[in-house]
Amino acid sequence: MDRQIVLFEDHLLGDMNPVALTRPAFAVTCACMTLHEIAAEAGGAEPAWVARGYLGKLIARQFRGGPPGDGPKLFLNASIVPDVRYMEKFRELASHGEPFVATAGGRVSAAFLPAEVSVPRPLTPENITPWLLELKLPLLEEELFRTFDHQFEVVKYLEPLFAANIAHRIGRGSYREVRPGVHAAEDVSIADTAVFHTRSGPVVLERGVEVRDFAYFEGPVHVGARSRVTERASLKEHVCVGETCKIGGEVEASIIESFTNKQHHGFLGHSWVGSWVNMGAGTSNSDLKNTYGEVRLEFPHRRVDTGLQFLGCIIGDYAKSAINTSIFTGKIIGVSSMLYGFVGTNVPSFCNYARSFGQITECPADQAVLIQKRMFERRGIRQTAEDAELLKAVFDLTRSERLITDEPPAL
Amino acid sequence: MCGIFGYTGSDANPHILIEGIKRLEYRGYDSWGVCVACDDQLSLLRRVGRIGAADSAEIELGGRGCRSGIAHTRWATHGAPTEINAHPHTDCTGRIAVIHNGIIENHSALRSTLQAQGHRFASETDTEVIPHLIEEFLKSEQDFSAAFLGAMKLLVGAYGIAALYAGEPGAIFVARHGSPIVLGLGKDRTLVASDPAPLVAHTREVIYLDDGEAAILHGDGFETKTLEGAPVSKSVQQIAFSLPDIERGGFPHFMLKEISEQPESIHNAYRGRIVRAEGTAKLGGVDEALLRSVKHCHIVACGTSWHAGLIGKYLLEGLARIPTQVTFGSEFRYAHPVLEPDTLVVAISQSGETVDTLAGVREAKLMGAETIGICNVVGSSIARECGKGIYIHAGPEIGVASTKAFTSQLVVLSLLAVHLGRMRGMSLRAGLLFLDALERLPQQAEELLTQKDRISDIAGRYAAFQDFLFIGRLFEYPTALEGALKLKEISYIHAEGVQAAEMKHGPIALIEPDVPTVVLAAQAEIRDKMMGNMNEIRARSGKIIAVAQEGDTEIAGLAEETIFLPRTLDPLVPILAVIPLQMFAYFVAVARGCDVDKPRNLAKSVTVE
Repeated sequence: MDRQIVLFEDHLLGDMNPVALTRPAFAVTCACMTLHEIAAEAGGAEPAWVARGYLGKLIARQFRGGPPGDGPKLFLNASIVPDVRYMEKFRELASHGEPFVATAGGRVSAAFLPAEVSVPRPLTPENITPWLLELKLPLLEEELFRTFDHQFEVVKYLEPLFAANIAHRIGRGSYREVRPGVHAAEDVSIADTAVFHTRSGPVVLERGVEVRDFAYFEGPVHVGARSRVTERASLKEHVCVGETCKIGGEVEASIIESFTNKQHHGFLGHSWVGSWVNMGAGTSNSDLKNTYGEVRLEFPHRRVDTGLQFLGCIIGDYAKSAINTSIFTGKIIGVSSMLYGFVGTNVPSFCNYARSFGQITECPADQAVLIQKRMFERRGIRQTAEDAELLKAVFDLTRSERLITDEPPAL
Repeated sequence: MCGIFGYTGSDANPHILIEGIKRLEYRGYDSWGVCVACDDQLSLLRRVGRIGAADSAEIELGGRGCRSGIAHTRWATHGAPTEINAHPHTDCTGRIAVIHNGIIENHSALRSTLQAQGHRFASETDTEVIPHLIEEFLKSEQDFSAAFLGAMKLLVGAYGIAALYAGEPGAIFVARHGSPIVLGLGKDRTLVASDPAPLVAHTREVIYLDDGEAAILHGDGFETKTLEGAPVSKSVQQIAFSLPDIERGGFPHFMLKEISEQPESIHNAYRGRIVRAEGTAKLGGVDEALLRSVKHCHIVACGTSWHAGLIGKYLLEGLARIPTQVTFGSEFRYAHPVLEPDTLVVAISQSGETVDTLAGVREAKLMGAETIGICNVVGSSIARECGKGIYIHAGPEIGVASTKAFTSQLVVLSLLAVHLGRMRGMSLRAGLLFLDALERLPQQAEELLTQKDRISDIAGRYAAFQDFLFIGRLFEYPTALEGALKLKEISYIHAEGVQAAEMKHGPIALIEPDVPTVVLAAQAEIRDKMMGNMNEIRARSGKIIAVAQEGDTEIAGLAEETIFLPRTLDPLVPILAVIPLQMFAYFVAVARGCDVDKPRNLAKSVTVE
């Protein structure tokens, strides 16, 4: 296809923290897919991207599409939910070639620009939406795509997207159906005592996954390459696990991004957990209020009604929890924070949070960088300057979240 | 709307300039100023108030041998009517002076850039960026003409500009984009003005500049060019009007002139305020934190402004979901209003002097409420009392029956509603669609004005009736009230505005062949209901003049006369629908021989309780 797909972040990502603090919005996993994967498959090539400057150097290694070039372009908001059913629409819009702009709620979701429209340089998340709107392209009547407007929506969309996304994975991959509804890639090892229930959806195990004794699966479940499901683990309905994770205990309707350890007992439900997180033994979260009412997120100057009865927690990259940490319903945990005891409020990024013991302190960026280095080494990954710079940039970006005073810090 | 005048030739004394702008005072009268160029320097005089009040002995400016001068009478848009804000405005060196009619939309950005480059500003006006911009260009350009044209190309908005430069004292530099400019060609003098009124004392030969054109005037001639510098050939025309005709723009009455100005005044009300990039509006006079905190609105107004307020309620509740009440200014103080916390009181007044509304503002402030004004006259009492507000930029409204101020108030209320709405969950798409529809209104108003002759014919046929009903629902209900008010205030015909569904609760008893009904039926949402009303009126032998969306033959089939409106969104229908009602009232009054601009028993601004 000669029409390039461009995934663009816009200026409205603040409510996606901490999910999109350390990764571009198009790389957020939901229901075992990312928008980047879907756009690449739709366009038959690496999509170009427009992302926040502080992410640029690091993500250029991983996403090789780079900035948009010349020629006709289909612009897609990086916050569009990763729904494989959009793939055909992406192709149709790109091949149709008619200029348009489409919105979703308060943001531009997509636009098609013919070759003769020159792109401003640099194109940034701050200037792209104003530029697209000032072009006065025909405004489509229908809202074509849904977008993630808040971090909790990653959990909200998990169930609605899962069936189509995992079916698409099975269709395009090369798996063996090792048990009814259980699709395994190469080098997967499954203990004989593992139990799979696939009446509600399939289980997909990517290359090199290890399933240990007495593990229990209730599909749909997707486990990324080289991850380990430990003894007696229980993964129940709408669980997707990234690459190189260790998963134990009880996990239900949750997303765990790559390189995260949750290998001990404890419950994780209706939650999103970032990369390089370590959850200590006994760490559990609540995903249901005692009132059985709607979960509401609390921020200093506003409350956000989620419309969800079940919502656990959102845990940013590099966060750690101590043994027996208890996270209350609907809490947002920032990047690189360390949790101890009861977590009854949101936790800003880069905090040592031991509120139940009366201690909340800032976790310096240098310490976070050192921990990052140690974690990387355990996985045989070399820490680069860009990795460290990202953490320092996020530390600066989230400085206002941390109120290290007599008052407990709050998001 | 301001008046500009310039003179170059022998004996360019300030008295000639002042006589010139006296002829333009109907275009603005809150402050004035003159500047003459003599002996490589500029001399400047600025005053607050009407020119007629100036002591002529005071006006000694420059010396002998002045070769050119410019003068300006102001209708404030940016910054209160003060001496500092009066035109002409000068650059840092005092060697460039500029007068301007219009609005520079990108003045904030230009001001910031120029300040960063070291320019010092004295006034709050948008105009002051122009001399500083020319000054900046003059640092790199060969001559003043090139610097002037370079600066013009960076201006966004509407302007008619005349500039003097001390280094070329015999020349006036002129440019036009969106605001009128006329050149006058005298025997030993060349002149420039906003319209021909001040030129007739000197010549009847004129040239009308078009948008994107500039001119350099000398005492013995002129050259015209595009803003890019390419020469333009212009044809000379003869002024054929009398002076009063010119002041009324060739119209027989100010009211008709002001009705006809609505395409421009509607545009001026939103000019520079639409932020398409965010699908919202930018309202400089009201701080964002205040608007975010608003949970209730209470509109206080009188007369036509009260009707605008009623439409404002529908706009604020429909677009922004903010509960809104509308109260007469005269009742606000005595009705013991309940103002919830976080209530914004919005005072609407064309003149800004309406005493009952002003009293309401003061009462609201005593009760601790935040107040904003929606006024036409900058620096007026209500504007000052509120401290915050949105000017409608309609230009002076001289006809006692308010016309263009009403539509401009509705545009501003629409901007406020869409801005508050976008802060409260209104989708980007809905915002864009609304703003796109708003931007189509000037052209649509222009199309409506082409129906003038037809509306005049209809008015002629109905001028003898003694009673009228005007009916409408939702946005068209206050429009019906306004249509009835227009008719009664200038033609002295009894006319009642009625909410259409209320007809069956009483007013339908008035229907008979001698009581015609003006039916407003242009909103898509309640069109079918209005057809029901029309059938009920027809069944009782009532005559109907309908206002409907273009192409609505079903509505037309039920009416004796139908005036079609260009299609727009329901919330914007009043802005178009009121224009034929204004014309209808005007032509009925003319047919009945009434004094349209000065109707009996009425004053333009009601400053007594």
